[in-house]
Amino acid sequence: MKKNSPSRTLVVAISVIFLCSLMVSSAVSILRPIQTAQKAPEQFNNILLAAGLGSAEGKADVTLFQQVETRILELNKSELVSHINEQGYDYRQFIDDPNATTPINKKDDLAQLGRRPKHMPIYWIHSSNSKAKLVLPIYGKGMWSVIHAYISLEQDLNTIVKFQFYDLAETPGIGDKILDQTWLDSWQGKQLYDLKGDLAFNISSKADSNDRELSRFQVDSITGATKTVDAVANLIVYWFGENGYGPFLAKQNAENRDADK
Amino acid sequence: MNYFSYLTKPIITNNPITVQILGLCSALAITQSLLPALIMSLAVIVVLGFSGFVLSLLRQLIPNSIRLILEMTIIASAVIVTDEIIKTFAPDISRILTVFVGLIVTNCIVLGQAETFARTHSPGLSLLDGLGNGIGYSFILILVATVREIIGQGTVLNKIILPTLSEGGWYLENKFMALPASAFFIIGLIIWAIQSYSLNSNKQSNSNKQRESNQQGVSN
Repeated sequence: MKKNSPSRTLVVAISVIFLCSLMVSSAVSILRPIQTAQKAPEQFNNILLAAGLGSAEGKADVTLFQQVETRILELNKSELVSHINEQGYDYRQFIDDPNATTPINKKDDLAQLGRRPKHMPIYWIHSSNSKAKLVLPIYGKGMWSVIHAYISLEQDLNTIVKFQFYDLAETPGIGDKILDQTWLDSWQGKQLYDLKGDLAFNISSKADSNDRELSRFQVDSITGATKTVDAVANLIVYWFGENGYGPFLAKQNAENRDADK
Repeated sequence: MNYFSYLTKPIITNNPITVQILGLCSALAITQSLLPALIMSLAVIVVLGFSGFVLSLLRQLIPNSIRLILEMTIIASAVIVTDEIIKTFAPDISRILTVFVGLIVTNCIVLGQAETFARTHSPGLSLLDGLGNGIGYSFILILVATVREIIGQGTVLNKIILPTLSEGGWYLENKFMALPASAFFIIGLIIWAIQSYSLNSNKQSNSNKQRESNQQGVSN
């Protein structure tokens, strides 16, 4: 066969690609378990951090773990289920698994997820001197990477306690401005839903924060990181809308109200 | 030309960053402190050595029409494996390096070496040249990162060299050095130094040659 003949081109291309994919997939399958094992304690600390309890050094006080109650939420039914082992449940393992996810309609897919996990873990943080806070994992596509974050809510399931990213790979110095602590702190006390129960939260580049009614739901945008901030805004809207935690939170609130009566 | 010079030539006289002006993007982005720069350097050396060696092995096999895409496939695979290894064994640093390990794929040094060297030389020489280019890149990266970390944060490898004011010392850190653009100035200065050095040595060797030819003329 000549060096540039079509058949030879095809053979060389296929064999090189096959060998390369073998190399990549075996490396990933050998290393992934080690990576997940390393991430488990870190993961717990991130949850605690989002609730305002963890330590910034990455190692959490072990006794704090007892305050966290992990539950599994079935998103389709907006119900808590108990047939799945919730200890150490990491939804990130199932993001690409067709059996564990359901496709999302194009027009609803604000966070560009493509598919949504059937189950998501949620975390109740109990503490002796205040009522339980709720920590929810959210994720979506940023400019380059999939952004993962935790958001913690007050007992009213509406007021944001803290917003914390824990896994992303946005452009250093530009997109990763969203990690700026001052900006993240500005999320504290903002509310997601208005009195009618509609999602009112937004991230805006307009400085109309004089309007107190609006500023309750509004976080300022970051200059120079527009794409990433837009992605963050979209993922909040997605996860707290009809297709995310919206129905579950509404249901929980209704139950709480009944219990108060 | 002896084999050793394939390894050493890209370090100063044909340095990919300062002479060929390639790979600047990552040199700006990850030289804020020394530790990530060291890991990045290692990654680039490994990828360059690997891709140089493998592409040179396959140089007789690869048809011209799909040459570039196969080169990119092999380079990209090497980069993904390297990235996974860093993610596993140095997760904290991988968080600082973010996309830049992945972006080694588009680092001009790698494809440049593949196209201009590996395609026409034996595997052994290509491996040496790849490693040499990687070391040359690392040399500049480490130099820039050290300068930026000392002036920008008063530390080297997170050890305090100049105690900063916020820590109760006397040194007010230069915040500009924390920004990527500052690397332009440092690289610029390094290029200046290297170019003027090599210009000088060129002049000397030229004048030596002239003298020799003059002497030859006289003797004829």
